[in-house]
Amino acid sequence: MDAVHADATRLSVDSLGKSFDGVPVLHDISLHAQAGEFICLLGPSGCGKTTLLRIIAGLEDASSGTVRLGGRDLAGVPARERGFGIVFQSYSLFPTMTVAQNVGYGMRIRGASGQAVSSRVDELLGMTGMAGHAGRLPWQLSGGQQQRVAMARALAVNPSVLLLDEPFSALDARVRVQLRGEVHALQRRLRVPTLMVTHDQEEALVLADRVACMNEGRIEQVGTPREIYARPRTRFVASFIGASTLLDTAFVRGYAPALLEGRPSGAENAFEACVRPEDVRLDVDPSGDARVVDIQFLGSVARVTAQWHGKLLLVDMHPSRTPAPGDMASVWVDPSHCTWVTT
Amino acid sequence: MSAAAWSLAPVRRERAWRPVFIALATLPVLGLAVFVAWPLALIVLRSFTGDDHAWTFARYATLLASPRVLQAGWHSLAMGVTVTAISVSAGFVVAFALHRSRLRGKAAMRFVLLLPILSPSLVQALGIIFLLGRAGLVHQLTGWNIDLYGFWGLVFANACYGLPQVVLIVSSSLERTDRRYYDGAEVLGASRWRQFLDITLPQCRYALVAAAFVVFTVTVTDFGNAIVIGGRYRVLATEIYAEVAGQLDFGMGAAIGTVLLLPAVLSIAVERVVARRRVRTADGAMVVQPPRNLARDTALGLMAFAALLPILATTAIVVYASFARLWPYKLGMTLANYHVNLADGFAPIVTSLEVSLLAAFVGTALLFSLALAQRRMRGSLAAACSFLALLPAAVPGLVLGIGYLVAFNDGPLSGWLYGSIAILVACNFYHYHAQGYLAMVSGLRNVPAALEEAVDCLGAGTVRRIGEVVLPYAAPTLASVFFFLFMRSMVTLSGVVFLVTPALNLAAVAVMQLDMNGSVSQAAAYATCVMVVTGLAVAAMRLAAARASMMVKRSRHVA
Repeated sequence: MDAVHADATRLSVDSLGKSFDGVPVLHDISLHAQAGEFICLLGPSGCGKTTLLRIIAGLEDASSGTVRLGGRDLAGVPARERGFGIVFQSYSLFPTMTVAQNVGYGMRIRGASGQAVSSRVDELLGMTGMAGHAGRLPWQLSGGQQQRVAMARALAVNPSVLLLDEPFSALDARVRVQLRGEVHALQRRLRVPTLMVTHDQEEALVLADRVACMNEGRIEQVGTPREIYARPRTRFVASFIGASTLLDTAFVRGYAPALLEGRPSGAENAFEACVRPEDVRLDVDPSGDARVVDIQFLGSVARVTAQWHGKLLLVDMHPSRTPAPGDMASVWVDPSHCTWVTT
Repeated sequence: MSAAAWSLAPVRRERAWRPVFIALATLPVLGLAVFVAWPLALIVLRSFTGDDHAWTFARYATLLASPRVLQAGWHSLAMGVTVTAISVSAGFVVAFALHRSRLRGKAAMRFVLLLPILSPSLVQALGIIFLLGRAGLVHQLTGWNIDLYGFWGLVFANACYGLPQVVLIVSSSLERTDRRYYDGAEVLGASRWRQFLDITLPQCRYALVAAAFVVFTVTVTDFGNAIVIGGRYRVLATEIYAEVAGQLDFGMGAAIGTVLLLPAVLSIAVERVVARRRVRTADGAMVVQPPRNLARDTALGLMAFAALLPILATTAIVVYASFARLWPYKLGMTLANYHVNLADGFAPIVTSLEVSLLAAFVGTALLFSLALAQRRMRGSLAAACSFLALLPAAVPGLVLGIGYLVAFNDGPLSGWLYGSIAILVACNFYHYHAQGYLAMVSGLRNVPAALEEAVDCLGAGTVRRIGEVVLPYAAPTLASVFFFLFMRSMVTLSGVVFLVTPALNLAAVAVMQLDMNGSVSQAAAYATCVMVVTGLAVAAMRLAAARASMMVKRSRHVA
């Protein structure tokens, strides 16, 4: 895709706010997409991520702030004139239209000729692996097939932005993983700027170029999946994404002073150390200060919980080398992998 | 108890279910056989046999040879089609205004829609006479002579009666349309008009077809309005009444009744197809929130007002006229009209209350146990059961009433049935059996299967499970079925009109008799009493249902 097109489709959101009947649900949201980027809005249910997506789509009005596309302010531009594509969790397809009619819908509205529509429909159904289902009605398809058709329909009009609202959450676990892979490949190939809402951290980490982690109507952190995981900035991000143990400053000073080195200066209670289970080493040692209380077998790793001066510390170990519950052990935390998060 | 004894328990429970199941199913099925299948079979049989019990088409030949009957048939058809066209289009607009606009006063709209449901079925006709008739308000004010009696008066009254039913049916499909269909179309670039054509209309098309059939059937088989306002415009329903009640010719009545079964049977067939084709929506459908649009709301508001005003006006004027000294010449207030010229005074209202409460009690109990039993039925047994339970939907009250006359005026059951309150209770209950049954079956679907299984695993018996799990969840449905049967029994005319006796009269019939005697103001007074009683019942229903559903909602957090 050429540079001009890429620039014209750059989506940016600036200090956006939204209240419903005086109750604020989004605070000061800013987000700037790069050309062809896949961004995931990740957060627990009720954090406002779907509202944000709907505002960007034009289905909801913002209370304050702006949404721009390639520098053009979208305020007052109704959804139908934005030229976006959208896929919902369910109810995506028009139940009374066939697969082909669904996919061709946006083009027919734009007045495309019958021949142009049908060749584009064939192309997209081929691309999404749905060739041969053109004449079916939505209820004759499985959930995964319906979502493939919904993707094809959204892509048919060459959308400037593709919006995905929890597109996989109504699907079985296996279909979900398979479809996730297909969407990933398709998006990388077409390079359509994509914004996806999800509450599934694994989905976000696998698919996204960047993840915007949301909590209570705010974006807490934006970063690549690796950054978000390895360098969380807030306690919420640290606990929502992956497993971690959070240690307060006084505790660290007392039992793991080596970690203090990376601590930003600030009030005693302003920061906590976030320690990922794979960055902790636990050695069985009768004179150690931690006691193993529980071991969970997770397949490729075993997750050990140890009681360490009143904290429950999570440690990942190779499943064949785990201690037994009740064993005493000494703890070593890798200072280079410890992150300090705001509380 | 040892572990081994515990593990045997489920087997024992599985066997314990059978007698309970048989006990639950027996009485309702027996009732359907005696009070629906048998009378219907007799009517059809009677229409094909002569007075000497030999097979013959003579009755139909007589029908076809009678210019009177042919004319009435043609009239019924013309009137039915006209009413259907008006009700369906106006009803669609009102339903659309209720669910796809930001109009204020939707509660008031719903109230007006409720009026025809809780008023005796000829109130609309009475109202129009008070309004537009020879001694009507409009004539009094303007001096215009409107020839009301006949086709257009009848169409008007029946359209008022049919419209709320269309709104009800169309509303349910508008409600179930998920917001995301509209969102999807919007993002794809569809205009509002396109969205209406591509989403709203397709989603409603089956409901519209179903509503059309329901209205057509109700209109063609209703004779409360036809008698009051039809004048010389004879329709099949009045014809059948003349044959049976006037000339006591059951055979001809049976033949016309069988003919009247046809549109109803057809409408049931269509309804079944519609139900199968209906778009299944999963849980968690999001309610459509119409965007702000002043032009749309103004247009819809005006159209809905125009559609609902006649209903409100006709009902209100009946109440008003009931208090007038001499309508419409002396409008001073009086209670004189409430001293009715009926031998038994207000006793029919008391009888109606008795009949309606009994029909509601017995009916709810029978429907509940049938719906419970039905959950355990499989294959052809289930199909037969649901056919029998839904069969009454295809039987106009008129035909059912004649069926009861034919079946119970002699024979083994006539001794204690004919002229008793039991036959009225049965007629009203079985007339509305299908609707009650459908409500009950869908209400029982709300019972969480997981909770039932949990109670089962904890070792509760069948009876216990019904009492402790099913009943609390079904309570709102039981309440609404109870009051549905009660309301319909209070106001329905068409079945029981053949079954009342001078000694045992019903309120809805009394209204008709007063009107036929020329005591129109007293008919209005009587109708007002019925509306008040039924209205109070509706209020009680709202309250009871709200409480029951609150309980369910609370317990749902646990479940």
